[in-house]
Amino acid sequence: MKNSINKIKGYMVVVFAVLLFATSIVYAQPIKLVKGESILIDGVYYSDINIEFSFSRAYLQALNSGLVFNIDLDFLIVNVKPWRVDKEIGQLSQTYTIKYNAFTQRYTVLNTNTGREISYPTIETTLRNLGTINKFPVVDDSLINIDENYQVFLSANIKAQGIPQWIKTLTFWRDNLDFQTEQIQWPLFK
Amino acid sequence: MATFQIKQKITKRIIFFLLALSAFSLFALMFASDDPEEFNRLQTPILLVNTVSFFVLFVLVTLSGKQLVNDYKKSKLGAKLRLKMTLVFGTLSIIPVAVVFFFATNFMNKGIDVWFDAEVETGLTNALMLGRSALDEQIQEGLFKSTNMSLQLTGIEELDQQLHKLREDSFALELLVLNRELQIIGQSTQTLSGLSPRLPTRTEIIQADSKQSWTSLDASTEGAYLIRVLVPVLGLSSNEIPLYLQSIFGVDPALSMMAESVEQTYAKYGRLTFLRIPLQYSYIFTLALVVLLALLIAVYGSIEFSKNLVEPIESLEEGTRSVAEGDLNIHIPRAGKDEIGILVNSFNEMVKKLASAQTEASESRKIIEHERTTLQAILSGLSAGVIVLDEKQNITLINPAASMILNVDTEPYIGCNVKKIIKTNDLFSQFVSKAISKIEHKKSWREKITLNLADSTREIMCSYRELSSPTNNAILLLVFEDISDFLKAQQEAAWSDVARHMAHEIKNPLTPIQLSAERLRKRYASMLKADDLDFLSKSTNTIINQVELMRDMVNAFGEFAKDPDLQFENLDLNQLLNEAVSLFEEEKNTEYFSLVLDNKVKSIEGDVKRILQMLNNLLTNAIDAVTAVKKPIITISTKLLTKQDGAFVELSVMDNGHGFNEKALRSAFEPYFTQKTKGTGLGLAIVKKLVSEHNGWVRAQNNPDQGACLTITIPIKRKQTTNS
Repeated sequence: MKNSINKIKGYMVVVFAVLLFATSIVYAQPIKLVKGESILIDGVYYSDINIEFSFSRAYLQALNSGLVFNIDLDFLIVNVKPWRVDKEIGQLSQTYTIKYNAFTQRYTVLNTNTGREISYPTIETTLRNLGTINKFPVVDDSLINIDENYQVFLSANIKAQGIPQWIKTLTFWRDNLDFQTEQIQWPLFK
Repeated sequence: MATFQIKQKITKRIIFFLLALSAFSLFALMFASDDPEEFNRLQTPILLVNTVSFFVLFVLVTLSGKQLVNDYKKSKLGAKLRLKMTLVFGTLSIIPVAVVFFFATNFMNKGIDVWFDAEVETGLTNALMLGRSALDEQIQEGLFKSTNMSLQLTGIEELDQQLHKLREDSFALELLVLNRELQIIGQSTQTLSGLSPRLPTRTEIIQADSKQSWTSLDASTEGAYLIRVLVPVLGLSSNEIPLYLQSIFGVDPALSMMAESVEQTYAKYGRLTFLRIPLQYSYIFTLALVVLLALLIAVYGSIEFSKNLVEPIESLEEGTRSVAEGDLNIHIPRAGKDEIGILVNSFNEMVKKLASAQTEASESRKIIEHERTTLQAILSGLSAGVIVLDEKQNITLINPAASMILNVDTEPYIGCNVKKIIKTNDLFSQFVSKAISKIEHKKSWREKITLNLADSTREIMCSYRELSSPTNNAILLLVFEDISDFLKAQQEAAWSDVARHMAHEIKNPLTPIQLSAERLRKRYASMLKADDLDFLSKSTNTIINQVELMRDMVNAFGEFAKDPDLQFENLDLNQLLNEAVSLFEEEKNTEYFSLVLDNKVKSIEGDVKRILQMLNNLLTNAIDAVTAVKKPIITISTKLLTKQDGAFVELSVMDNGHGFNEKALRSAFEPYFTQKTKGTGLGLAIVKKLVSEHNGWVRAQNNPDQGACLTITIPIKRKQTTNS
């Protein structure tokens, strides 16, 4: 009887540990989309986006070890039609790479779309700067009918370059540095 | 069964394909490991293929193992051997593979540990520090140049020209004057560099304000290193709006290249260090997968191998069982050219020869059976009795004639030892007893054996010979024949001959004697006196009477010796009996007779005269027998008998006279034997002869209470014969 109770207790501990582990994976998000809003300037809709980075020790260790992270922002502009199928107006991606140069001891952020590269002395500065994206051109006004409802959908993901896929597959349960955020959305105009 | 074989073939092909794919993929992985990108690209599909192969094999091995265990539990033929072989082969493969896996893992881990030796890391760090210190000098030089240039700027008029001149003098790549709002006041950029002005950040401006300078070393995307210096331009600051000079210097290309190389190596090493554990896991996983694949192949191979090895043995066992059950139409399929194949071929050859031998034996048996049947038929057809004994005097054969002669059912005696038979007291045991007493003394003899019955004797002529069989076992052969009838017939023939001679010799003088006696009486009757005449008459009468008697006797002899010349016709026996009895009653003036006649007896085939003669003799004897009896009764009866060999009529004449004494009973039908004072002794002998001529038989016996009974049995139809 006592053995059975001990066994049940053991199982419960294991289940609890697993749940805790899973929860930690869920909540320790390295990248989180906080807010997005769009404004119309000179016939172009721009978006201001707030991203919150919270790199864990593993990310920092990976970054400092020489791994390069890709941060992809995927925009989707959709004409939302009630009672009908939504219409996709356009989609665009913005990719940043972030790496640490051991020689310069600086973190470099490269906008792969523009080729513009900025280095920062600390990771905090880097992530802070990277987390505030202002005036990102989204769509031309000519494509928009003001009488309809348009929504901007944004999702982001972070991927570690240089880790073979098979290693990622094998170690999916451990130090998984790839992450995909949930999608957020905001109206193109109010 | 065909579907099952097709499925098996398909399964084997799938396994072979998967294994080939796995082997190919592993080789590809091995060769691709030289090229990391190729390696990374191929790794996942290759591992996927191997994982699929592993699971397919695992399922197959599990199913095969389960089947094997089920067969073992059901005690199927060969399952035990297969399980044992599988376990042995499986264990033999598991142990070395496990050992190899253990050592390979250890070596691999140690090898990976060696890569990440602390000394390597220190060396790389030192190299990095060294490079950085080399660049520090250039950064300081850039700072010095920038400070000087900021002091040389005299005003904002023609600022771009000033900056251009300063840039060319200082070998800077870019000079930029900007305010705190990051607005560009003036700039000079190396045309060929193609770089767009890279503005400092506000943080950098703040740092330049606080420290009077700000420097940084940036790595460009082309792999070149740039020194960025930000200093306040004190001479140009107006209205308390500070201006800043940002100078960008290129690092010496050789140094830059070396620095890039060190940085890349350091980063690569860092990445490897970071991936050290996952790499170890992946290698161990790959190795484990390969080992498990090899192991499963070995186990599956051992199951298949043991199955293939045991299958012919199972077939052999089944074949042996079939042969043991007598089925020789079995052929085991060829099982390769190894020892088992040779064994299978030998077995097939053996079965073939056995089948041939069996056919020959069957033919021989048929021939023997035929010969035996023929012999049986011959023995059955023989009138002589045959008894065959083995060397231990057990009866092995008795033919039907022997059974008939010895009046016994001999079937139960087959296989019995003669000494057991001797203990019984019948005709058969008498014969065996007498024959065995002679067998033990001589190897070959021929003798007459007399067997005593209650009312008669039986004479048996017996021949004995000890034969030797092909197996050198002695065969004791007794051949015998009942010669009683023959002897009697011989005796009767002799008596007939005597009677014929007597009749011939005696009959002729009788008439002259009678005539002479009558003439004597006639001639001297008138001449003699009364006394003499009386004497003469008495004497001549005596002569004449005696002559008459002698004539009767001679006639009787004649009748006895007379050859049969029967005139068969259908006659009503009952009617004939009635008439005969009536005549007798009238002639003898008697009323002794009582008739009990069977109405079923209608007519028989016979010679009327002879039958009447038979009746005459029987009735005369009966009357003679009851002469001295106070209340004489002679019962005459008929009865219809139906036997296997036909219908018979039984005629009995029973009296209440003195009956037969023992000797008379035995010799009643012998010629010249009589119990009467007057009589020829031929009455019953003639009866017997006449009955025999009618294919019948007669027997004499005493009644249980008083008197004798003579019974005649004759067939209703003349052609019927009797075995009596």
